[in-house]
Amino acid sequence: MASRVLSSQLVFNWRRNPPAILGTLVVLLCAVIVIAGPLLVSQNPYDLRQLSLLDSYKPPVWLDGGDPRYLLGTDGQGRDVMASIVYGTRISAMIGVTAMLMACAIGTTLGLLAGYFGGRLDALIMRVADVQLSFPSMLIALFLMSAFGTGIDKVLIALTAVGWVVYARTVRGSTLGEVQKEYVQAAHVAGLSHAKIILRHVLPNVLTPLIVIATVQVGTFILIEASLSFLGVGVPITRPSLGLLIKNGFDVLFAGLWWNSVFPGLMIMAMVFGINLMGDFLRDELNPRLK
Amino acid sequence: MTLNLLPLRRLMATAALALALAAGSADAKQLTVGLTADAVHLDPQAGEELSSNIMFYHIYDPLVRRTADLEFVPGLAESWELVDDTTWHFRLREGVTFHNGAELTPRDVVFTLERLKASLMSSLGRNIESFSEVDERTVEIKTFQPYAVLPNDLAGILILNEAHVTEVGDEQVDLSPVGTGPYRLANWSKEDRLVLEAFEEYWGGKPEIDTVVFRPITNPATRTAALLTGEVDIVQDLSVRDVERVAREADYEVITRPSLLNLVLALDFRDQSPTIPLDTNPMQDQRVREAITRAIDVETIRVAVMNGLSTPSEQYVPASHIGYLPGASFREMYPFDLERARELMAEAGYADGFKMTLDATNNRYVNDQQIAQALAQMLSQIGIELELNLMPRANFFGYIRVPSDSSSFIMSGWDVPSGDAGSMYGAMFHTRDVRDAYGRVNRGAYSNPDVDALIIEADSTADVRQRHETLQRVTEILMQDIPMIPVHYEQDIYAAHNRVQFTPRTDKFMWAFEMDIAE
Repeated sequence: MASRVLSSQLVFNWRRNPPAILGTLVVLLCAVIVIAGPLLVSQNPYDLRQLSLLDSYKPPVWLDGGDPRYLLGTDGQGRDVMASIVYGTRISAMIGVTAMLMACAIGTTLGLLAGYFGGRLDALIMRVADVQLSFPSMLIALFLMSAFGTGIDKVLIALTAVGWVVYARTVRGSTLGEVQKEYVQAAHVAGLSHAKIILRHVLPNVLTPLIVIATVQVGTFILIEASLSFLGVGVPITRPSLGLLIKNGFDVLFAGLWWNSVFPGLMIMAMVFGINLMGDFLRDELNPRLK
Repeated sequence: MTLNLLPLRRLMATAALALALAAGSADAKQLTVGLTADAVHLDPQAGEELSSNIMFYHIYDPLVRRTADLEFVPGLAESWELVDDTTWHFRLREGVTFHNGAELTPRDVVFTLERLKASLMSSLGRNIESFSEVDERTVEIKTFQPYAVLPNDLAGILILNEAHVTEVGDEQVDLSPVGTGPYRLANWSKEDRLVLEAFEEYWGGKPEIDTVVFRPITNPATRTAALLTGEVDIVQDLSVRDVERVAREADYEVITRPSLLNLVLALDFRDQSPTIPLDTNPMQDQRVREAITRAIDVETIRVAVMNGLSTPSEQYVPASHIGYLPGASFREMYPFDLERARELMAEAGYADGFKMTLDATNNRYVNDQQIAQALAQMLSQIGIELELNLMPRANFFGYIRVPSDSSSFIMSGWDVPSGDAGSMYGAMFHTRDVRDAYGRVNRGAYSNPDVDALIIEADSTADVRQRHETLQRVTEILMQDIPMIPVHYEQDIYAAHNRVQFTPRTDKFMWAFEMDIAE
């Protein structure tokens, strides 16, 4: 019942908040691209047999020399820029969301344990978190990528390693507050196990702030992945993400082949912008202090 | 009014003085060079790659100097003579001093050769049997067998100062090099800049340019930008895509020159290949090697990837070299033909293809990572699924080093500045681990007894014509066996501000001693 009120309140405010509407639409559009993308474009840019070097560096269709098969032009390998963007968006979004879920799961678990049990465990987890927070996340990710090598799986590991801290700290803070409350005390008296109390009683009450963090983090992760790929330590070159597309395009920018980097750049900008608008809205709505 | 004039006059005097000072410092000519990578070593016996080589020849001198056009002229040795079939006498130039003030003596040459024998670069001296000091200006070098091109080999051996090396120790030679060359090291902050200053007492005359700054700028677009914004005066390896853009600028000039660097693909001959998930190695079958050769469309790479700025290679060495076989060409023996390539794969029993990994650089050769992707595209047409393992040059050469335990298919470049195929054949195609200094870069473990015998025969003749004929026979066998697929010669592309006077060298070693910069 309470959640229904909350959601209707949320929807009510959402409809009066144009930036939030815009953000949601952009995110939905990205979701469509991610889910139905391959159906929208005729080429699979990751299937090398479908590429032809003879079609390399064709300009967008509205410029001289444009080819109607390639709406936004092609890159140096004859990859359709639009198809690359669609597939690249899938990779980027997949990496952003997966890494966020992994970071969230690990961070929340550690935060719950630290907040609930306190003591040495708490001190250990939080000191690790503090140490990690004293380094910029980009630096840590770069370090991990250089140490373990490149590839999508390694990108996920690096992002998770970078991202868990913020959940752990937030959840620990909320948990410390919750364990003092009567319902947790009552659960103890009723003889429930620690696991049950944590999962059934504490967890649902500390989740709300995480929604905001998670939303914004997807955007951040997409940008970090793009930076890693731009620096050449991210995804493999035959399966480019948006960041790698921008990098490949940057190398030929001086030669006037701008469409190789500008269009993927616009895509990443739109996606992160949409996610951040949504995140802002959710933060305003879900943060009790702002009400 | 008159009262005000005095400070004004004083001000003008100060300004004039400042101008004079500025003019004074402008007299000191400085050249800033944008390189693709920083030098790895300054110890010429610790390893070699292009950036290090460029520094070596500024700081040190060889006994025999290689000119910009691959001629061999006196360097630290002013003359040499053949005493008998295997004994050479090299007479040192008089009055040559090292950067530390010490005079060049035959001891330094003997010390250098001794140290070389124990170093990573020992293959440079593989034909030298012994060496000694004859008198205070003469060094004697003996070869194992009559060896006609010894002076060419010596052009790659740079002379160290014995006292300095012994004093500072091997590690410090890298950081505080002392040679007899036209420039000495002023300052090196790795990956940022390497500054050389003119050595006034250089035996060849004082260099025109007083200070040379080398800046490693890995990204080609950044390098172009650095040139056009005036941050550097000249760049190496201008991106082929930026050639037209820079040529349009009035103040800049694009300089190209066909390169000797042959981009080659090494195939694995071992029974099992590290990255091919099969019990046998398909590439042991000549038909598979031929199919791979035929599936690679070198002409399309030239047009689409290299923007027309490459020359498809016919053989392993260019036409000017000893060992080149006139009329023979990979492009004619195995022209691009997908139908035939697929047939050959099917005949060999690999109609469905196989999987393997290509090891390649992403910052060493012109458009290397684009070429690697193009190869993946082309080989996918005959069912070979090519994974790309791309890495920066700093990791690459260690990764592929013999015994090459993780590699099946390697893309690398090879050039033979000595003008002779023998050194390449000896290093790359002689069976490995059977003779010292032979087969050291035979990464695919290719082995053919006929080739081995001919290489040794060529290395033991004093007659250049006979050596040429023997090496031609090796070339013929190799083109049948396909231990390696030559792809193309790059073009060396430089771009410079008009103020810079620069003529590119065949060996790509940019040398400030041959350059000048206008005010």
